[in-house]
Amino acid sequence: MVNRSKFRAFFLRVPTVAWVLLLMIIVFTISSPHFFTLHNISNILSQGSILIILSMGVIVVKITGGIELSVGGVMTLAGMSMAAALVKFDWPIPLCLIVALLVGTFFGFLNGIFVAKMGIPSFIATLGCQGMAFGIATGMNDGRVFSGFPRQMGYFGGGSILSIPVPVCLSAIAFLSSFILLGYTRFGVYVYAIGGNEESLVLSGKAAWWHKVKAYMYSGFMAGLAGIVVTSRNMTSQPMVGFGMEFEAFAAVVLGGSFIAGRGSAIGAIIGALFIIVLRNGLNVTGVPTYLQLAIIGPALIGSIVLSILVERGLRNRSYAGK
Amino acid sequence: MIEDVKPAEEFEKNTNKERRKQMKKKIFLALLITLIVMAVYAGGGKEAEPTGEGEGTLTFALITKALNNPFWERMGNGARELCEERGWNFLYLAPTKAMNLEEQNRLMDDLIAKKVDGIVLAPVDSAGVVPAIERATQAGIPVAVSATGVYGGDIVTYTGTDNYEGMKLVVEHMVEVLGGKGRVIVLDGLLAATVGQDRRKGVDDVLAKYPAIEIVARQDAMMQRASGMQVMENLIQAVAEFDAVIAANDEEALGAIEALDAAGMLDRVMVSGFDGNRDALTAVRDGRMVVTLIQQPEKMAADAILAIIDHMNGKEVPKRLPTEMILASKRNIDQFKDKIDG
Amino acid sequence: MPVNNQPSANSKRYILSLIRVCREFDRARVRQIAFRFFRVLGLLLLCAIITVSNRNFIRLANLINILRQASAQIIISIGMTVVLLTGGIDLSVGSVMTVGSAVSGFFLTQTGLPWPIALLAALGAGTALGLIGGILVAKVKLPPPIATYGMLWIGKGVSFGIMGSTPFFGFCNEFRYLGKGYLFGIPFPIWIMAVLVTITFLFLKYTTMGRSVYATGANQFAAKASGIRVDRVLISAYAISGFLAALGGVILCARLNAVDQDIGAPFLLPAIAGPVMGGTSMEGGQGGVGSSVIGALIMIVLTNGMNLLGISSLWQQFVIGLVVVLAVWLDVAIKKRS
Repeated sequence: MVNRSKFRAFFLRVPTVAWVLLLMIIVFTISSPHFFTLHNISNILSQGSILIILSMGVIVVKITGGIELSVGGVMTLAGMSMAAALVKFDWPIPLCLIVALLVGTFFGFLNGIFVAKMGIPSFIATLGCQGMAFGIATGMNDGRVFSGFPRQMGYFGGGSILSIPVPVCLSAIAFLSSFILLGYTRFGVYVYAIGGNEESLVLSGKAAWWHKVKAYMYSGFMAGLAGIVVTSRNMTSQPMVGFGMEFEAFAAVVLGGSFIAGRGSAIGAIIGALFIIVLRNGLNVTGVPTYLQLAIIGPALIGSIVLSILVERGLRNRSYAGK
Repeated sequence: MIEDVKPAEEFEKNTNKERRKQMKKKIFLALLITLIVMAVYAGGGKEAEPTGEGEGTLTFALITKALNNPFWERMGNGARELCEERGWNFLYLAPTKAMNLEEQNRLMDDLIAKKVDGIVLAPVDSAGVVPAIERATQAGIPVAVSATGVYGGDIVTYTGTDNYEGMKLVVEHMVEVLGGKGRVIVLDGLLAATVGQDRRKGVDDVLAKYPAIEIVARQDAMMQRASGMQVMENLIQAVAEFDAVIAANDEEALGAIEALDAAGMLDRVMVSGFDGNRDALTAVRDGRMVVTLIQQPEKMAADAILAIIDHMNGKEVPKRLPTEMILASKRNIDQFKDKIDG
Repeated sequence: MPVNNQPSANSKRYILSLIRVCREFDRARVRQIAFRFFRVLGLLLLCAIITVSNRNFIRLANLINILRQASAQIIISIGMTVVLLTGGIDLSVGSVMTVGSAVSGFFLTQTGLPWPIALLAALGAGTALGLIGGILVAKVKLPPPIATYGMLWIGKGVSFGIMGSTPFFGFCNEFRYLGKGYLFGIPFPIWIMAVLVTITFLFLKYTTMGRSVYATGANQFAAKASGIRVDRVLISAYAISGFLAALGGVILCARLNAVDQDIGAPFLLPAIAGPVMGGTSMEGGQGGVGSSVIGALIMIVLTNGMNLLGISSLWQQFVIGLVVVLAVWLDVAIKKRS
């Protein structure tokens, strides 16, 4: 009896998408000699860092029950603001980094106030912030890009620490941060509680709304961090660079198990993000032309999500029955 | 993951010990993963060397800006035909979100991992792709850009129409048709890339010579048909009278033509395009468009690949390989029958 | 989205709660009408401000232009409204629009079949996709954002399967009439839009199925307990949304005379923001076609007005984002004052 429930507990803890990811990796490795190479693995991790960083923020918001649509715009604006500080005002690099993080956190704060204090549905609030962020980003330099950064700026996108590229280090830090936050801090408990059943939290005397605001601020901070990485990788700051990333991040956290409020985890989100990156990378490296890829990505995504939901329901029902 | 319900008091002590054990396990796991990742990168950096020898068939890849413009499809066709002729492998990639820089960079990195023998790139952003190009060159993969230039990066060559000169031809033709005077609306496109900048400069430089021609409105129509139509519809309402529309490319122009047609203004207003797509040539033949510039995207892509081959064989390749362009208007439209029907 | 998940064994309690819900409907209806009035006022105020700055706005030609440009958007918003009323959301509408365009484009250019077949095929495809989405929500019990997000990708795959990398263009004139034609001086798309708005309004207000939509959105379990076939309601709602999205796509490609990769993508977010701004709640059970149309019109008038006023398109995004947030906030704040 004990062994079976431990077995089941293990399967419940590991998101289904991890198995699909494993399967995918095996298939791609068979299809192309260039996929499972050290170089490509490092490539995948570096490419994925931006999506991973964003997902680490979005997962916290998603668990509280919100839909975060602003990360693309906020990331872009953070990058543009940093670039403006760098190129137009000649501020030193550390200060510019702080600008990016502050911009991200500020928009997170706005989102939080909209949702928690003003009662606006998170979909609309983050959508509005997205529009505002992209609007400022496009308007601030007449739609043009900022370029001509000093060479050191490329460190966050291209440099390495102990031979691990900086973006990968940053995404690891982001992951650890969310993992610890969600699993080992009181704030994490509140986040899950807000997602699960907000009334009980209010009744127990905590100011639930402030924790919600913090969740959005955290997501904004991550978007700012991602903005630093993407701007550094491209060595330019483009006003539309984050377009569409919010949907990728959404897909990543959903794949990772965050189907409804109160569910989800940092591990799930990072596996979900890797799933997306590995899927695109694998298709490219195997040599599938892009227009064909579109027919594959859809079913892969929705198939994995449906599978995850069904498996998890099946396991849970069985475990309840066992009790 | 499911958060476990907090156990009752009796189990507190045991679970504390359990938790500490679990914590140690997790820290150990984290250290292990970090060591593995370090090893991956330390080793992976050295492996980024080109093959090409030992494989017999060369593989070339083309990255365009989007999938939704026949212009890119023609580039793909040109490159594919050349590769099929010579027995090379060919891969055609593009961002799924049109004109997305981040995706283009990812595609570049994936191709580097795939160790292709050469990349032809039509950059979405002339500055933003430069680091990716540098990574490719460092990995030993030659890169040629086509249709749009780049600000930097060690590229084999830049093939493509001279957008500046081409636009000047188009605008001169329009000026001639207008009789040297009139009110003109200018639709720009994609100013983040050299293509938009060059064409804009071409328009401005020519119109500056004719003070009797007045630019009454100017907007970026993003080189797409839908936005061209919408921008034109709005401008029709905002601007009282105008005689001509100069568009940055065919797709914009065709969108504008639909808007003008719907408003019943098409017979009064002249429209010019740029690219020479089949749709546009049909429009010129039917009198809906006045003039367009036929580019040869097929040749651009093929030339780029051939330049890469030359470069690989150690031959000297000029940094700029202009592709021929031809003005197409009512006068010479019959010459291009095959492009329309074929 | 259904909030309460505490099923009770006592059916009387259900009936009582349903009656309470209906009574609140009455109170809410009165409030709703009062506040819809406010929103219309807001819309008119907006128009007045724009007209003062640029008299071209109030010209009939411009107003017709606005409506025509907005017709596809509004048609999709109607479909989205029905889904929102059930407490769900349809993220696939942009993609289904593209499918509608692609299917009609395919039938028009690649087969010799007459254009009505193309139209029917497109509408059928959209409805089919909507049905699948509805089944995913109702039977498989996937959360609506996830189910329709999956449909978004499936729609993309379908469009690409049909088009390959070749965009279609050059459609026959009879078909183009749907987008470009005029009937009694008013563009055809506006007629289609008006007809659909009226039909949906009547449907929601005066038919059992329509009322069931509201009930399902307000409280799914109470609705089920009172005998409403919730499954059928949900599936129908998503099917309607798919149908209308495909219709929007048909109109779009008829006007554009071409189909390309992701022609419908920009329509998704305004299709949600518009109705919500107009008063259709994302939680379900509140709002309606009228509200949604007004909300959509506010967004459209705002955009057109900004163009006329010469506000740089670069800053327009900012203004729209701000207005959406403020409008919804106003709505929420007013609703709270009960």
